[in-house]
Amino acid sequence: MQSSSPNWLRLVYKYKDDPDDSAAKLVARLPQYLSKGASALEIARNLQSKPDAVSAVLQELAEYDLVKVQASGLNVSFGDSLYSMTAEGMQFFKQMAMQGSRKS
Amino acid sequence: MSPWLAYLPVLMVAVFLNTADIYFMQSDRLPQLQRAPSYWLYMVGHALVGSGAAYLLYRKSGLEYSDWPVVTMVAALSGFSLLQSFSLKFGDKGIDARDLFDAWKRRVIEDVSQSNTSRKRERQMRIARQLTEKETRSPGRLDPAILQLAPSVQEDGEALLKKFAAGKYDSSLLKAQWIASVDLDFAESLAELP
Repeated sequence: MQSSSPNWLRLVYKYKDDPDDSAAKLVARLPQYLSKGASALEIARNLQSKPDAVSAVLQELAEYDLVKVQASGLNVSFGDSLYSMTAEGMQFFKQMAMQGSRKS
Repeated sequence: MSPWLAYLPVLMVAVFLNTADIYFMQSDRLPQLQRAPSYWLYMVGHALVGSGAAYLLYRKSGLEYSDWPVVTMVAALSGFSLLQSFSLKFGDKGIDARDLFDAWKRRVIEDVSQSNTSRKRERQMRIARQLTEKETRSPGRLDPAILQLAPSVQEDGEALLKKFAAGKYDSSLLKAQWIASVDLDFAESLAELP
């Protein structure tokens, strides 16, 4: 039986083929934060990145159901919400890690 | 030795090995594993596999209850390692226990991540509320903290303060939520200050 490819594979190839690999580098370091829940601001502080860049990546991952979003207060902006990893997300990050090791 | 006591170490080692496996797949120091229903289901599954293997070893291989250390290691490891890598394929069809256990484990991690995040969200909201009360009592009290934290997220502190003041929501709440979102431990220490 041939299993269908997950739709997040196109995201893996997008990051892999991106000549500016800053987003791919960011994605590679996300799992350690997402398994305990983290805001884009917290991740940005830890990774010395801009919150907007982190938010953009997380928003993209959320569109593919690779992360879940939980609002952490009233009237919070997207960057202040907490993000956690989904089961699909784990597969995605594993695939990204494999692509990264092949690239290097 | 009581037969029940001979099975107890198998259950304990099976639960320990699989809990350690799950623990090291996530990054929270003290995850609330017990709050994830799929964790318990996963442990029950492994306990059953371990008990089944121990039953076969005691009943069919002639091992005595006094051989419990050997049975414990073999039975617990059979569930943890052998079964999880078992696959039997005929052409494209077959049983692949590895995929099944990987998917099950991912589900456990997802539940644990959700539980960790919910706990963190509750802590973040509680601390933000405490900071909001402090800021409401003496306006401007959180400003130095924002000016201090802003460079760590490559933001301009003064611009942030102006943005919060110009916003349509309560600026005290926005400031408190921002600090709690950037650095929760720092926010907690601020909330504890007299």
